[in-house]
Amino acid sequence: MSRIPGREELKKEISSRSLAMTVEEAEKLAGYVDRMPTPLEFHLFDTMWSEHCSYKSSKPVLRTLPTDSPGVVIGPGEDAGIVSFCHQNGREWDLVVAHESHNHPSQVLPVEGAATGVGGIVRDVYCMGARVTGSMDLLRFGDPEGVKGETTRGIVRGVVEGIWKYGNALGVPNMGGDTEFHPGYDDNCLVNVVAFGIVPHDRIVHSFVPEEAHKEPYVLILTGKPTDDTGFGGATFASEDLDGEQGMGSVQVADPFLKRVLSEANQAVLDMLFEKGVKFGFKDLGAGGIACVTSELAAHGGLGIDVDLDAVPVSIENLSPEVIACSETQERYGLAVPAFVADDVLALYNERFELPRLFPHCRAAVIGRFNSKPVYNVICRGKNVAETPVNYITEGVVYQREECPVDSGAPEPAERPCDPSKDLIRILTSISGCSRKHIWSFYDSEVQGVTRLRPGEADSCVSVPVEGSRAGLAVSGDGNPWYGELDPFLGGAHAVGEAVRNVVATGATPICATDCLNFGNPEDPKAFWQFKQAVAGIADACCALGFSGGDYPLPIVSGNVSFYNQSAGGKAIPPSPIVAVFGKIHDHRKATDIVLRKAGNLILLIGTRKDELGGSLFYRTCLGHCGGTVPAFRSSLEKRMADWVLGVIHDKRAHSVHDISGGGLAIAGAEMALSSERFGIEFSLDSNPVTLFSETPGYLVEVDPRFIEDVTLPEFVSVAGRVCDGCSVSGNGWSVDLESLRKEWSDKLASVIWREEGV
Amino acid sequence: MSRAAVIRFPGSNCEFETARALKNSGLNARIYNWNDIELLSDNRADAYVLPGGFSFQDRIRAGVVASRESIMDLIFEEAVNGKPILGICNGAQVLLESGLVPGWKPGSVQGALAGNLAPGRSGYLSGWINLKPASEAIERCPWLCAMSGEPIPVPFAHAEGRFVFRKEDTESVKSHIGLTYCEVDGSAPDGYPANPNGSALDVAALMNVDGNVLAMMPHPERSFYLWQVPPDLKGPWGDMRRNSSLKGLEDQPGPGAIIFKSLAKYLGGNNG
Amino acid sequence: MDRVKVAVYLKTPDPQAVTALNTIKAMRLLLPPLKLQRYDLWEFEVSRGGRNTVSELVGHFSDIVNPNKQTWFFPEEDSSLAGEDTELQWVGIAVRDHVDSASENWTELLKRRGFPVESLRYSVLWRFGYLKDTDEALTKKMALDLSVSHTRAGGLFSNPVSQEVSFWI
Repeated sequence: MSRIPGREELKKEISSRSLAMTVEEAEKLAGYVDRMPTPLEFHLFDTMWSEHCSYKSSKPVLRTLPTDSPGVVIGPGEDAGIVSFCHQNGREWDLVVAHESHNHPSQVLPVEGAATGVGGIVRDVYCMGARVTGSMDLLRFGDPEGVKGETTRGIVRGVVEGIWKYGNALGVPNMGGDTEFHPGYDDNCLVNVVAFGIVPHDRIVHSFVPEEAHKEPYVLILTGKPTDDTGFGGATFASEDLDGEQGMGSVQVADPFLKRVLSEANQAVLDMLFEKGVKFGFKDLGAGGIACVTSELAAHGGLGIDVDLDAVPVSIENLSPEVIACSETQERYGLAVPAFVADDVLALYNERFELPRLFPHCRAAVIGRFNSKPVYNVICRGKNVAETPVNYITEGVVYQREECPVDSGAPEPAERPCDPSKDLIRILTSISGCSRKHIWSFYDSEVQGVTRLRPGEADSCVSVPVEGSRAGLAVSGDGNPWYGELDPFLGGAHAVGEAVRNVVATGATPICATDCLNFGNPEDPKAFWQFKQAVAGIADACCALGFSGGDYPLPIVSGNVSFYNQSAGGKAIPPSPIVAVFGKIHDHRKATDIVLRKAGNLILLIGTRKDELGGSLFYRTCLGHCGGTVPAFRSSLEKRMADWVLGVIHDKRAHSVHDISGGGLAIAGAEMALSSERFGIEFSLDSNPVTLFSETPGYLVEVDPRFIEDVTLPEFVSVAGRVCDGCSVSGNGWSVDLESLRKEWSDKLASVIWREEGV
Repeated sequence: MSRAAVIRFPGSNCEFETARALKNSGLNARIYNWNDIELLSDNRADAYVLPGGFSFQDRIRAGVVASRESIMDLIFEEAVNGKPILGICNGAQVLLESGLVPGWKPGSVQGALAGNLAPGRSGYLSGWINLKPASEAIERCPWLCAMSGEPIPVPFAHAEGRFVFRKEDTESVKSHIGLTYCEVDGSAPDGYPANPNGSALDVAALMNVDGNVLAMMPHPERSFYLWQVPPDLKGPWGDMRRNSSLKGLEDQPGPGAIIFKSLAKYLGGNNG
Repeated sequence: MDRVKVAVYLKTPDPQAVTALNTIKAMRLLLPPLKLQRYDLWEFEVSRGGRNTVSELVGHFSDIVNPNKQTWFFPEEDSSLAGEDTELQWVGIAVRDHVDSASENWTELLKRRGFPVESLRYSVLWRFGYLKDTDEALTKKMALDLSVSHTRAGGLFSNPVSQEVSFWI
């Protein structure tokens, strides 16, 4: 006999279990099971219907992003996106990319939060069958010299420590990323992580039980760290406001040592399964733990499953069924295989790779059986602790949120005094404009021996990931919070634009992109409007910057939304769309860097400077003003500039290339000089703030003087100056010796954040 | 073809590129798991490499847990037999903790790789530094025997890379020096950053008594090709790299290749 | 001048201690420790304020103690420490490097920030939990043997060339 509980009863359950779901959602769940849901069912659906897992606010908006292009193998939907990358010895190799945030945990526990961020994202790539060949961190912190400077400095140190302690041990080269400071992140740092890898096309693994399971018995193997109570409620935690003590105990403890051993063991298991020719499904355990992985593997394959929680290896006795099922213990994977190979799989994990000897209670075990009755059935100590029609679990919920436009209405400064030498020095020695080298010096960017260009050497990092192939992979991630704050649409568009330029500047053709959308509370119409604007900006830019021919866009193949980035007082972060772009260079030997090569060479300026300094480093650092006019996004010009620069690089005529972004042309020139040590640039342009410091998108390209005799320059290209001996940068009436500035430029971050000097 | 075995411990992470560097130097290289003891025992190699990484995640102390693994008994035996053995980074830490280097009394721990000492920072540090061989080492060490004596730039990446010896051993350890850190022109380093970790006597790589075992902190396998050299590196290798970039010459060997070439030369000479 | 010690431990099982105990098990000792606890041990020399100064300082730096994951206290040398199983007999060994950057840099940083700190030394404190009725002198000897790596087959927790150990009971 059924008994659907009333609202009051459900409310009580929600509050006593600290669930995030609404009463309406609880009613819906009770209706599905036609009774009072079990504790496990409550927690399972609480996770599945969390913003983090269900995208319930963002889904309708995300559908407007372009995802289709001829190279796309798997678009958004699985754990990672996949695009075609190169052919080597008759085999097609694909690129696997994933992008996520780990913002809230990193604010509370910087070391562990950042570490599990890296851990989670590489698992997403591994579980597509790929070898992970790189990762990247896109970090946004508060003002380290501001009112909450002490907290911020501790968070920066902790996040960097978490990334190196975890990432370096994993053996995945760190391809840098970017770091921005803005007081709007004082209460909410952003830790966005990107991971990518390569997989032969015929060895892509999916995260659902294969069709064959309808015909023959399939089992579910859980492998990795023994389950404990860490991270119970993590997905819900990711979708709540931050305030002081909240979230204690929700953050998981990462173990890169186990992860490294598991990665090699997984590779051996996958090799064996492919060799045997059996079909299988593979998925990492993330939010919602065992409950999510088992139900999703089954549901996406159209099957049911019986899960036996007593078979789950645990490291703590007497855990309740819902904790075993929903804890987010790190370093675990689920594998759906035919029953007849289960023993061979277990032997690889438990004997060949000795998981039980390396870590107490760690082992692979069969914990479930798939069946054709479409029910998600969980048993613990002989009792049914969940029994739900499987299709409901993945059905999800969707909300239409309200939106309300926000007019930043920010004025331009009344006056713009400019002393080029002083202003340039001010920018280069500011927290926003100084070198990020100190952060990278903690990272291992060269493990695997595939790294061609490391962080700081070029506009994007380049690696050569497929053995025997010359194909180079360039990757860059960007997003300017100052633009996002003034105009979320342009914030989104320029995030794409700058990442594209960074990839193009190394000679690589963009092939796909990922996004991570970090915003405030979606139930706040203003925050939701910002989100929609930013997505529209990304979509516009991607549509304009397709490089696959025809009308094909630059496809967004994976991504993540992070809402509720706000303090207890309700103050949201600046709208922060962050985009990573991946590019391919046919022969990595043609890749260009930012190091000036020869005195006497010409510096070409690509992209005419415009008076649009809103949010610029010049305004902020030299005038103490944000301005209002963000650079326009000129989509067709942006594309023509990129095509032209790629042409020059492919003709082997570009000696060095640097894009113009934060700080404008003068800073771009100074950075080229600083990295070449022996050379500098003499600009032959007007010395006004627009020419020198406007952040209108563009590039600087170093070419031989004969170049302009051979090539007719398009209207957006002009000669800006020439390379000179000595590490300096100068223009009409001004000159800066960079050698004397080098120490402060490269040491500023360490001095303020790691040594706390002058704070 | 001479055979080289790369030993993977739980947590190693440089085994693939190390094996690749050996292969591309004309050796037959194969990766063995920490528990492939029988297999390796039946198929002894001509040389052994303990690759970089974080065996047991450097828990307790870098290298110490791996030094207790049973497979180290076999490495120990081969070391005493005079086979060439190279430990890179974490592999070097394992060799020190095993008492194989400096190895006056094999099995006794007589040196340490301690936490980096650098002004104003602690923990992990990565970058490129210059290395110079000790002249006797070129004659004695199979991993250095093809070197000319000119400095080579090689990347390093570690948190515990500072060689430490007992005061009373400072003199005797000098004859064990394989490579020292140096300035780009080969002169002795003026402290940090040319000596990136405060290593005693500027040691970057240390041999055992017979010179067949080498514990090396920097990563030669990561500078095996010229294209791996940073474009902003100072010195002749940097110039070569910068000048080659529009000419497609970058497949040529990088500065670290000489370590593996040395082994090939040594084994080639030995095996005829 | 006051010397103030602070011990810090993780609220969740410490992976370092887990691996260490696992390694000890593989050594097949006659009387192995049954439990192992790991603490960060910070020893401050402060010119005024004693424990108050140190309490304040600890509250300022989440890198020394993050209350969301760690518990800290002023340890007394003659009793079992917070979080320890009182059914066992505990012996402690503190391991520290002869020289280490972390201690030097923290000392500089704290001085720069105006805390009355003269010096600071960081150690790792390992506490070995032996069977209750084991002879005390024997547990001390066993703990010490286990703590110094004179040879490849010997102790684990310190390298005698670069580190020093002291009892902490």
